[in-house]
Amino acid sequence: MLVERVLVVLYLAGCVGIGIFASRKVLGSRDEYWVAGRRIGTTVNAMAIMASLASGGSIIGVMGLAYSQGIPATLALFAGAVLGFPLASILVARQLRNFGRYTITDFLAFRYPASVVRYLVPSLIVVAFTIYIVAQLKAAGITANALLGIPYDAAIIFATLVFIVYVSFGGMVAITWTDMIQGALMLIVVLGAGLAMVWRVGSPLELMRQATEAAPELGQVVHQPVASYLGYFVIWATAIPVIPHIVMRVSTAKDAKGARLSLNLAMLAYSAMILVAVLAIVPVGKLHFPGLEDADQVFLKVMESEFPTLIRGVAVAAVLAAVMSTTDALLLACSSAIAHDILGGLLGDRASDKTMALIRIGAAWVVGLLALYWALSPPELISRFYTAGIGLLSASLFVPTIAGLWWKRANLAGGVASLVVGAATYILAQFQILDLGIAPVVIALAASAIAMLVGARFGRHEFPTMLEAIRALHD
Amino acid sequence: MKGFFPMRRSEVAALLFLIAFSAFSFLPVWRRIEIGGIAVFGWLMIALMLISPVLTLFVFIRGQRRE
Repeated sequence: MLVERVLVVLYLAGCVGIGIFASRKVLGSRDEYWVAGRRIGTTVNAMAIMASLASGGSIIGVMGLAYSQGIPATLALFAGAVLGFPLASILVARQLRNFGRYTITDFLAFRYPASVVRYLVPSLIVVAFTIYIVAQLKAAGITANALLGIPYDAAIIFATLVFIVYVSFGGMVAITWTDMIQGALMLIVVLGAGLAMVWRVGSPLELMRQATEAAPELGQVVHQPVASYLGYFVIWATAIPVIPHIVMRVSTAKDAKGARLSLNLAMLAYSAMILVAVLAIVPVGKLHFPGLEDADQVFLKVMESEFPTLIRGVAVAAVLAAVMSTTDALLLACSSAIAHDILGGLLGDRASDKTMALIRIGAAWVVGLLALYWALSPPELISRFYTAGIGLLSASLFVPTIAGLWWKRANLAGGVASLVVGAATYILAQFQILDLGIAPVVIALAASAIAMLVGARFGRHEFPTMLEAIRALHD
Repeated sequence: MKGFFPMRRSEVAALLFLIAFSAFSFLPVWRRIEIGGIAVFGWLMIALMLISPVLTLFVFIRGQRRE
């Protein structure tokens, strides 16, 4: 375990070093802090987007899920995000990059200028992302405890302090470079391990044949009705175009072409990683370790049995990288919702650059420490809550964003109505106060779309100047 | 489609295809039929995860060449 611990400590020290190095450049500039000066190249951005999306669940969780619930169900849960990338690339990337601000709140508050939009959107983001961060911290603590033998509390306190330091001082520049390294690490470990497994057997089809013969349930749809996969699929398909930490990445690209291409390449990398994990590593785990009590151990069991110590250490670092690359992006997006969207909106030009820099740093520490406090005694169902949190963002933001960019009749009344009705319906459906027997996100998206139509029908038509401004974003 | 800002035909076609493919994949019948030990639903999800990035990249590159 010594090699693994040394590699992880070196890796965490590297993250802090990048944050401190970046801080010299970014602390005095909003553009540098929130969107890395809008000069991130396509490949780096693609890797950072992939890493931001691929959480611990995309390495440990996806393989554990495929092991316990079968390949078809697992892929259905993750394919939603893969569908979300084309939606983001085609429907929002060019326009939001051309818009030239920082956050999804900036766009919605411009398109639908009302206080409820300016303050409700960041509030929803803070709630959803704080839950998401707590879930990721819990995953980090459990992972570090299982892999490195470090006590849960010590692991999350240490990990949280590391990423608060590099996010709060290094901003988007620091998390872009750390995420790029983390993304590359994940990709190399998963693709390398998967290809090694296939190479030993001869072909992926032969590997799959052996595994499904030994464990037929691997290829079957078991346990849950399709409706439950559909909800998860729709949540991620509609979240990717509007989810704040992806939208901020779109704004870091040099231009609209770079933004779109980086989303496309990120989608390729994410897709390849999930497919190789599920189709090459899980079958080996099922063949060599049937009947694992904790299915989430399958990846580590395979790495332990098939690879030498050093590579196992790199794999442990890759798992932690997956957790941290998502958590740091969430923390930055969450602190942007507080420091830029809410406080920046309230203070306007009255605050000096120095004050705003202190607010940015303070927001990251407040959110990070709050999440840490909660993660020290997390609710049992936190990992379910975080998907619900993402669902809340999809249900409330998807319709007003897409309609605001593409539909000429979208207006202030429609935008506000679709935002509020989408959020309210999702909460009612999620807590089963409104139960129609279908996934809450599907009901909420439909309600949000109807609210947009009604608002557009009865509200005041949009000013020609607004339509001209939106048209310009499509150029 | 006068009420909407214009979108390239290839992008509209790609989006409609991917949404239709997703809806088709979730038909309950594909859960019961198996090919090579995996439910057809699983094969369709694998196909979606391969087709989606490749098709979108193709549409993007084609659009750039036209520009």
